[in-house]
Amino acid sequence: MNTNYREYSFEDFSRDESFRQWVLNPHTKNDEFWEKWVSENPDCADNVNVAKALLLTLQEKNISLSNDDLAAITDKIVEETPLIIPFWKTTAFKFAASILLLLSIGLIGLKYYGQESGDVASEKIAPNLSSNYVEEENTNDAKKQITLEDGSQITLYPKSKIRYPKQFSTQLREVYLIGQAFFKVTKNPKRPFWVYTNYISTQVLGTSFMVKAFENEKNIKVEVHSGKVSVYRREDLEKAKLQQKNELVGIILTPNQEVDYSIADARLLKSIINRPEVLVANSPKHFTFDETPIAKVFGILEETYGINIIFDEKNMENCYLTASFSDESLYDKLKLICKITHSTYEIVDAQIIIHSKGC
Amino acid sequence: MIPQEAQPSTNNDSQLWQQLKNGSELALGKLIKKYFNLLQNYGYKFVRNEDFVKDCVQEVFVEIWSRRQSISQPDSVRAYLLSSVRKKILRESVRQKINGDDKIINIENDLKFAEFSPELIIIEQENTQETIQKVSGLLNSLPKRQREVVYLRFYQNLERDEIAQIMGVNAQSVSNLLQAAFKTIRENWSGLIIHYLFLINFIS
Repeated sequence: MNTNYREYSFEDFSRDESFRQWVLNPHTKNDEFWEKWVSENPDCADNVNVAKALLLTLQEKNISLSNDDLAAITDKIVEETPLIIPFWKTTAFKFAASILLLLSIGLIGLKYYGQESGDVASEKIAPNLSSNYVEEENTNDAKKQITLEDGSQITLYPKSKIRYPKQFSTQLREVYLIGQAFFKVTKNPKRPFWVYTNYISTQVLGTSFMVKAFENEKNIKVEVHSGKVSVYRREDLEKAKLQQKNELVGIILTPNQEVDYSIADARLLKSIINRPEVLVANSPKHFTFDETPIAKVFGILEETYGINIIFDEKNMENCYLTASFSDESLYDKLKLICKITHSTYEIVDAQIIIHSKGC
Repeated sequence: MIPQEAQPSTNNDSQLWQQLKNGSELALGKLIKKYFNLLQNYGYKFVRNEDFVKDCVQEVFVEIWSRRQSISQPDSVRAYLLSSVRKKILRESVRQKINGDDKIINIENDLKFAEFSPELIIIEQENTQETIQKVSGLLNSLPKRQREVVYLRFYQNLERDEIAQIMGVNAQSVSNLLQAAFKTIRENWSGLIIHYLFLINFIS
């Protein structure tokens, strides 16, 4: 690379790394080059001098510690600084990536699979958790706080048990839960976080969520309020592990979606959560529609709740809506729209389907 | 032979930062070695007290190290550090009343970017010394925000958006401040140079 310094302005010089070194940190290998260059190009002396003067003026006083001093500072910091594990809020702010997510799992089957079979199962699916682990049980009436070595935090609810390795592996963070817990996971896309329960496993990438396990419920439920998780059936995971397949049959959940796992028919069923929340942070609370084409109304609702709305556009092309919405739930809004447009709705596969006879 | 450029690779900074987040003492040491003096120099522009500035810079690294598990990955490590030092110095100087100003209402607005004092520079060559006097006179005639922009742009060699981040303004304001400063510098400096050339022509 042959930089044409002859065409440099004083600004260019002052931003050139090699030139800066010569001026600001003299007595290095650059000295020779620049001294020679300056003497060979006297007509550029003005620009060189101005750039030099500019840098020196800006530097003003060279406060510099020697490398030894700096090394001593480093040692001191390392020795004397305690590691602060972030609080929920701090983390939430610092990791903008801390996507809020609420995930709840209702779980039954402990009567058949008790603790032992759970252990056996956890060995198959997460060998890391079968040795050198920490197990915490909350037998009190109060919630218990646990901080993992990656900074993730767990709030363990009463009558619950969690198992995690003393040291997570470099690729995966895995925990096994019986009961209920709230997780606040430090984001690290390179080390996905897995929560295993008896029947289903949930993978998350840095988020906070709730895992609930009630012994008297027949379904397992994962509810996402924001963020993204994937849910897998345990048997599929085990199969994939056995066959060393990378493809997994799972269900991806986005905000306002939930999945129900029915233990009786071992099936995952995707749906919409009970009270879908407004997803867009700055979206207006109030919607006012004035003779608005129904397609536009549905478009706005889709965007606000992140849920697909399927309808026959041709059939409903003459439908217009005049209404104003405020705090009603999504379902209340839908009911009103359906009443006005003489239609009905149903929820299929986490989508809303509108049946209309036309307006 | 053109000397090899010791370009501060931003890529390298990001890697160091990631390693630091994972608890690497080596990475912390490298960042300190690379930036500590530079940060002190910047801090000294606000508060003329070397010990105070050194403590502030050190405190910034202490905080980074202690919060390494939760700290985010900045786009520009250099800009992040400069901005942290700036904030730290402002906060501490208010707290310790270093500036002797009790009436600070809005910290940001009351930031004093000191005038450059050329007598602090020890330079052997006399002609350079003279040029420095002129340049510093010129720079000190600029409003303090322009002065800081020029410092960050030329001495710290930063991009516009990095400067914007540090000074807490938008990139357009940085451009405007820089343009205004350039205009003053160019006008005055080219004036000097043209005057000089004119003299030579006249004499010959």
